[in-house]
Amino acid sequence: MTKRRTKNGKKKMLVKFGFLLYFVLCLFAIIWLKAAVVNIKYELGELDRMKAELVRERKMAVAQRANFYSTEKIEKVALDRLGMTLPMRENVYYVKRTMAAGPYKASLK
Amino acid sequence: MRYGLLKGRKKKSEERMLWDEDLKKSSLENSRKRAIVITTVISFGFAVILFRLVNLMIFDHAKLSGQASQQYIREKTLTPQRGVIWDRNLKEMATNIETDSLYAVPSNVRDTARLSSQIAPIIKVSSGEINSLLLKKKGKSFTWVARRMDLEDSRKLSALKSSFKDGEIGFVTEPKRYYPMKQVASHILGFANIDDKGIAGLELVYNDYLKGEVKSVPVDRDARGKSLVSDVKEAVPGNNIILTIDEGLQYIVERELTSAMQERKAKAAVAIMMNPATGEILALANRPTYDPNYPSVADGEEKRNRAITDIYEPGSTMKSILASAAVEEKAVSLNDIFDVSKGTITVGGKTIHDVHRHGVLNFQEVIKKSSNVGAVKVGMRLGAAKYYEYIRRFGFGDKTGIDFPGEAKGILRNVKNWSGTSLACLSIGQEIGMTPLQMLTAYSVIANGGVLMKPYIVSEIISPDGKSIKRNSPAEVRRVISKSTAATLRNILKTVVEEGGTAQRANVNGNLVAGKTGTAQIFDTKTGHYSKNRFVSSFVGFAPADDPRVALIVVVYEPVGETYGGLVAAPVFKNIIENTFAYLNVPMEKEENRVYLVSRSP
Repeated sequence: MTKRRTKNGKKKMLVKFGFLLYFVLCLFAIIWLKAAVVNIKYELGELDRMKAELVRERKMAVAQRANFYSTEKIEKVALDRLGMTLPMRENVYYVKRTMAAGPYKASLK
Repeated sequence: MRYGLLKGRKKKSEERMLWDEDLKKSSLENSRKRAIVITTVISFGFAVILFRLVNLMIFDHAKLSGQASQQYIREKTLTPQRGVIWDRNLKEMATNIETDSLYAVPSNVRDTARLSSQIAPIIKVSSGEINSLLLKKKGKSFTWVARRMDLEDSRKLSALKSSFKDGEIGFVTEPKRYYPMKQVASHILGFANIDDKGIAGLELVYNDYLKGEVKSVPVDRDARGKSLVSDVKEAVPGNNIILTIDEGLQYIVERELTSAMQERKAKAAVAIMMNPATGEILALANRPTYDPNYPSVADGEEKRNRAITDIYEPGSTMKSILASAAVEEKAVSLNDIFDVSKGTITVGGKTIHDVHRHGVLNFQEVIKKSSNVGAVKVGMRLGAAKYYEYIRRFGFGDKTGIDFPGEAKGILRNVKNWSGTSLACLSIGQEIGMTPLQMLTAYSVIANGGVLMKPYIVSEIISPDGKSIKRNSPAEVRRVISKSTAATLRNILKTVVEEGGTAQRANVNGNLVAGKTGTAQIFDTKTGHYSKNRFVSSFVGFAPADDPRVALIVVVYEPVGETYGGLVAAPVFKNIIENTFAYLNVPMEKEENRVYLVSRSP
């Protein structure tokens, strides 16, 4: 009878220990999860900063592109760097297309 | 006896057992009491803790959570992106870039002289200036050192940042308005200030549409103040604007105006180009000008939009308005003869001269040769009341209603207040003040067949997600003259540019031009007389004359040397129109071989 009581006591102790262990593990799991979330938040924050930097560079690129596309810039490059000249109006021929695309011949009619 | 002894011992042993049991009982009783006391104490302790917890978590929750939030949550203001301004071909005329602004924490700076000398050469400010700023703000936790630096400067400073102590300086990224075309269209666009608020031009008029919505969002931060990711990412950006302006045409106009200014050494110049059929402003330029990226270095003269805000006396360009009224009212016919051989006419005690002696002219020649005497005679046939009515109908004395700030309505006295000389003076474009835009709008009436159109610069406002918020479309103000009168006037104005006319230098090779020159003396308010050496030279017209694509006015203020509109403004008109037609692919109409018909081979 004493033996049985001792056995029951040990069982109860084990159960108690198990519960304690489970509680501690849960506690650690929650802390680990919290830490992981914070870590992800840091990573996202860093990615956010990188994104802001890229957006900033994009804005600069758009502004530069707009500057390069300005007629003033194009004319300057064409005249000064590429040695082109503005065409005389007499030298410009306008072609009126009257039919669908295909092999064409020009006529003076 | 032995039995009796045993019995006695047994009794004693029983008594001892009973006594032991009593002792055990009393000990257990004591233990139980102690346990009760301890349990009560512990329970009380827990109850106190529980009470405190309830107090903290329920009753003081709001207060404490607020205090905690203050420690780890920071309010971050998200500055919205200002709307983009595009030309009619969706070329960016005003956009946004992000720049770094440098701040210092004076309370953390120990050696202000060292810090100043390191920063000064990069931000191009004297080290003494920075040093005195830091000393002045000593003890404060924030002061701006340089706002919206160039990208290059901020990169140099970022590289240097490690050589400063922690918390001495820092950077804040701020949006900055950027005008990629620089001086081109500066008077149209205006500019925004350092806080992204529109100050002039369209930036001012459409500020409410462009500015976007500022948002303040909570951002978590750790013990070091480092930000964690926040839930709300972006502020609501501003709406975008599409203009009627064509950047290519705008550049052509600006380029030709610059060259005219240099050639004529003029005080100022204005040119406006409009689609006469719709009222769309295609280009608008003023000289002197400025770069809206650096508005603070420009003076008031450079920022002045004379095209819309300044009034001038038009001179002979007014004769087309007089002629339109006279033809419409049938006060004259094309073959009516006017004897201007004297070269002068005296009206109300004022003598008006012709620049050249002409002899006898018909009505068409009066306009072609810009005879002042002939114009006065036409005016007298029409009469003051009718002329005033038509002046008003052409839009003079009223704002055009353009979507632009600071428009002047001009000066036009009521006919009741006209003096004996007023009709004669108004016939030759004196005693009246108008903006170049008003004059161009009036000539567009002749160009488009007789309808006064409301000019406009903004074509459409679209939301950041591409939805149309506001769309401006061509608006007729009123019919001013009949189609036939307009056609007659177009034919008359064509002759002005032909041989014998006052504006032969406006003749465009390959296309017919219609227009009128103007040379007006500037009224000197000091002497109370018209100046003999200060003039406003102008030319206003449209082309191709029979099917106008553009109407254009060129006004040159106080040119040096040549002063006649036909010599100063007409060549500028010609250059602009020729380049415009090349840009718009308008074929030459005079030579048949300019247009080739292409057909498919059999």
